[in-house]
Amino acid sequence: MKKLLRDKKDLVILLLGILFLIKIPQGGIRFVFWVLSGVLIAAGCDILIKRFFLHQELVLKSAIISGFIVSGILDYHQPWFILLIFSLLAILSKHIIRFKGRHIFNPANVGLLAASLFGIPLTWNIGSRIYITIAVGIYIAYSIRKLPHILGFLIFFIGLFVSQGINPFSLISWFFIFIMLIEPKTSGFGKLRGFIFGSIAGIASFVIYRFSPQYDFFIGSLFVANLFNPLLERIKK
Amino acid sequence: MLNRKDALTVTVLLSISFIVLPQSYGSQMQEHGVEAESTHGEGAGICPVMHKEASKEYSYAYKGKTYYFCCPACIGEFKKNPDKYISRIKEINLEAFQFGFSPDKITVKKGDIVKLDATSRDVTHGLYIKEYGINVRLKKGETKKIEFVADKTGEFDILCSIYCGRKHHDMKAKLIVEE
Ligand SMILES: [Cu+2]
Repeated sequence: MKKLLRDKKDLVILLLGILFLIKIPQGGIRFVFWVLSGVLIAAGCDILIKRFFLHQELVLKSAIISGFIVSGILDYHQPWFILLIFSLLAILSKHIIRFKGRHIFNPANVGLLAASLFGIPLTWNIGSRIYITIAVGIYIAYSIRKLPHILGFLIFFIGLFVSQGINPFSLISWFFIFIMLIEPKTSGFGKLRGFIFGSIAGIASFVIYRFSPQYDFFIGSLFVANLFNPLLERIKK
Repeated sequence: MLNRKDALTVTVLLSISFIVLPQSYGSQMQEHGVEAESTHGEGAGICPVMHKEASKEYSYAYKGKTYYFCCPACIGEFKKNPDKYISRIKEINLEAFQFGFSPDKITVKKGDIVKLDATSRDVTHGLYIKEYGINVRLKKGETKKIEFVADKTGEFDILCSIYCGRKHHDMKAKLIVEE
């Protein structure tokens, strides 16, 4: 168990698995197949690309996480091809959109952003249990040193929403914060960089909510923060 | 590794599709539903006789209400038996809130014209009925008029399409279209 949880990705997968299981009674059989298919599509696509195009070793944890996120957030009443397209897009984006040899966009987030732009509803089914998400999430964030990101996000998110008379806690998605915002490879390291990264996302989420709420404001905000990655890379640790 | 040029091409294509496709999808979205109140001011809704898009040019007042039609012939048809047509118009006030819709069940007959006056009690919500191609944003303090012909029978989920908090996924109402 200890060995299993040393890699924090295992813990994320475990958390996603639990959130998924908890949701099954309400979501029913279609939800089960929807999420499992999303994971399989993402992992399958990742295998194909790594095996035949990049000749890399197969580490599938990231793809599994992406698959869980995309399928768990997309409305599972949509046609199956929707799941296929946006799960594939998530994985493809990881291998195609790169800056200095690394991907700068959170893969699942790219897939979901595209879905949001197409007007496909994101129902965030998997993000419904907040206490377990917060508890496990804080532990993950602490151990992979991402608390500055979260702090930056919360300060601006809470501040801006309160200034408009909206209760920020009635809107916040802890799933987004602890699972998506602090994704290791695309959120950057270092206290200052992390804080700025989170702040950009916090501000962007408010701006999107205020001016074009038809696009998911969490997904949109992470995309904006990711866009700043090449710039933020200049900040010294 | 994909080479640079390929990567660039794909990126450009993806970006273009991100920009162009949502717009074409957006126009498709109102295929069935006619959003009566658009940014261009109030539209005329659906003609109660022919079920086509009505025009402000052809109107007729009956019992203190103004009805709009798609052509002059429809006004003549309407005048013969106004109540027959009016009985097929279902006007409903629908309110979205954290976390649900009120009423949470709307029952109509097949062929009815459904007129929703939709609004939000608190934060911004989305009114989404997949099978009828309706996806409308509801802001607090703003009433959206949505009109469509209930031409498909069955039970349809009314969902919220804009993230509105912890139980966003629980926001659900039913549209029941009876034979
Ligand atoms: Cu809602």
